[in-house]
Formats: sequence, structure tokens, C-alpha cells
Amino acid sequence: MNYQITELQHALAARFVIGSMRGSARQRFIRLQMQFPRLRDEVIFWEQHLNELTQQIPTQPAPQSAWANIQQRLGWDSAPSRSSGKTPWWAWLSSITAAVLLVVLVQQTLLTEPTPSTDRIAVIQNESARTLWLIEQRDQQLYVSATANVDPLTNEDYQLWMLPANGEAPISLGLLPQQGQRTLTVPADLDLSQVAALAVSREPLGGSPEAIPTGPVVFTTDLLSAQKT
Amino acid sequence: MATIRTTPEELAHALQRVALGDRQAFKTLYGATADKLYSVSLHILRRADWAEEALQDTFIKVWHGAGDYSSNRGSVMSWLISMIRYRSIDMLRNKNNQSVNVDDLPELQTHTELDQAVANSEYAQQLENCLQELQPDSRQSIQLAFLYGLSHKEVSDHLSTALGTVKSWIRRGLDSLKRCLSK
Repeated sequence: MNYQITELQHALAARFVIGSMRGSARQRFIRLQMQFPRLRDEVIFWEQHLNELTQQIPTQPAPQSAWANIQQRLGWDSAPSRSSGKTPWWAWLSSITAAVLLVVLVQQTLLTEPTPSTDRIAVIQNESARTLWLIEQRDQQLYVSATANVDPLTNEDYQLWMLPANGEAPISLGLLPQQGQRTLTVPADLDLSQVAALAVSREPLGGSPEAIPTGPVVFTTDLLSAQKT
Repeated sequence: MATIRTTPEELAHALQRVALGDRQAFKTLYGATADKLYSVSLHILRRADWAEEALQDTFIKVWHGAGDYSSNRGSVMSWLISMIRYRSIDMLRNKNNQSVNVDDLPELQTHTELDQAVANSEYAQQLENCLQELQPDSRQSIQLAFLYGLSHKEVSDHLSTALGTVKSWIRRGLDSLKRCLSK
């Protein structure tokens, strides 16, 4: 096809702009615009005129969630988003501090109770600082208690991950209960004293199909020592 | 976020600031244009969740590509409208066109209805005049394709007219528009 023919340029650009050009032809035309500047000029001509047709469309307010989700996708807001993409595991480390103070308070409370065998504890909170799960580690067992604040998932599971202090890839610690309690067994070769942080991702039912998180990371926290110093 | 009224010059200034990484300017740009862009997308996709997705995708692209804009590409608003229209049309294809049921579309008037209160730009006035010169069938077919994202086949179904006839209406209408708009 000779894209230098003026009439053809008119016709293709107009079809592209009004939207009647579809599929692979549309993708090919986008590439052609880079190759033939005249085509791009034709497209701009039609856009400048035909976009005025949108004045006929009654304006409706955009959903409130859109702005928050855009910020989330740009990495400006640590709040979880239903439509956000994957978070690199190495980026988790930057958003951990929020729960630390509460962890310390809970730690002090726990230490007044007769729980001498607890090695470490962690509190997982949501963006409103409400506690979702309390985790106690004794030896190679994690005793996890879900609170009523956990937002139940119907077709997904919450999966707990440890982030090794040496910067290696996250390691799964199992699925979190959405209510009640569950005991998770930590593999014998994992040294929980070398955990930089814990993270929770949303995964398909049964957990991530891969060795690393495939869904969005929705919560992070620290695993702190519960031993008196 | 309530729509912030801005002039074309203010939008252009905000976009320039966005290209420099100014988040406040990005918020201003969003506040001034999001409702309009969402409405354009919703008209094509006819599903609120998809239209929101298109809106998000568009603004992510704006944040990363604001520097690609230049004034010879039309006004900032026109540039943004094109971005979200094309994103919405692509989504129609990717989602197997499930959202469009041509039977649900409202009947368009057989004459152009540009709101005279807002049709005050040079391009709007010229378009209004040129559309009035088209045959009603051509005008309606072009509007259905542009505003609702309908394919030739869908326009044909909606108007209960042979596909070849609709293609001819649109082609002749666009040819006439081109001649009129180029005067």
C-alpha cells in the first residue's frame, strides 16, 4: 500500500480516529505514524476537530477510588489497592515501620503474661492501623491468630512471606487464616533470626503457584524478638 | 474529587509541570479533567469498572509521558481525550467487545447536538457547521462510531442497514467533512 497517497492518508487517519479501524490494523497504523509524519499530521487534524464531539457527552464524576489507585500504581501511596500491579519484593523493605510501635507495645504486654517460650512476635496491621493478625513464634512454629478486622477473600488466599536479611528472594511461610487460628511450621533450615521483615500477599486459592509472590503485596511488618534483654 | 475549572492555558502549564515531575500539578490536571475523560470512556465501554481502569491507565501514561506532548498536537484536553478514547477502544477489543450491546444505545438525533454553550472553540464551531452539511445518515453513523466506539458492523446492526451501505455513509461523510474542515 502506498501511504504517500494523500487520499489514502485522509481515509486511514479518519478511520483510526473515529475508531472504526480495529485490531492489528490499528496497531500497524500506530507504527506507520512514526514512519510517515504526514499520517501523524492527518491524525492530529481529525483529533482536533472530532474530539469536539465529546462535548455532547454528559459529564459524570469519576469514581473516588480512581485517584487513590493511580497514586498506588505510581508507588506514591502504600495503601493497598484492588487493581494495583505486582510489588517488587525488594521494595517491601521501604514500608515496614508503621507497625513497629504497636509491636513494641504488644511485646511489652505479652512479656507480662506467662508466655516464656515465645521467641518473636509480629503484628500485621492494615492501612488504618487496625490489627489483622497476631503472630507468635516459638521454635519453628508460628501461631497465627486472625482478628475480626481481616477482610475476607472469597477466591484468594492471604500468603505470609519472610524476607531474608541477606536480601535473597522471599520465602513462603504458608497461608494465613482468614478467621480463627492456625499454626504454621517453619522449615527446619530457616533461621528466623535472620528475617528482615514479613510480608503478606494476595494469591490464588492454595497459594502462589510460584516460589515467589505473584499477587500484590498488601501488608508488611517486622518480626521482633520477644526475649527480655 | 470535584472537577476543578481551568483554562486551556492552565492545563498546558500543569502538564508542563507534570513533565518535570510535579505531583501537585498532576493532581491539578487530574482534578480538572478526570470527570470528562471518565465520561468519554464510559460512553464507549459502558461499564464503570472498565472506564475506571481506562482512566487509571491514561493518567499513568500521562505521568510517564507528559513530555511527549507538544502544542502542535492540539489542546491538552484534546490530547487527553484521544488518549483515553484509544485506550478504551483497545480495551473493547481485548475484552471481546462484551460491553457493547447495540440495542442498549440511545437513539441519536439525526442532527448534531453540540451544546452551543460550550461549542465555542474554533474547532467546535467549524465542526458544527460542517456536520450540518452532511447527509443525516452519514452524520449519525460517524457519531455512533466516534462516541460509542462502534465498529462498522455494530453501526450496521444498530441502524438495521446493510454493512456496505453503512461503510459508504461513513466514507462519504468523512470525505465531505475533510473538504469542509480544510476550507
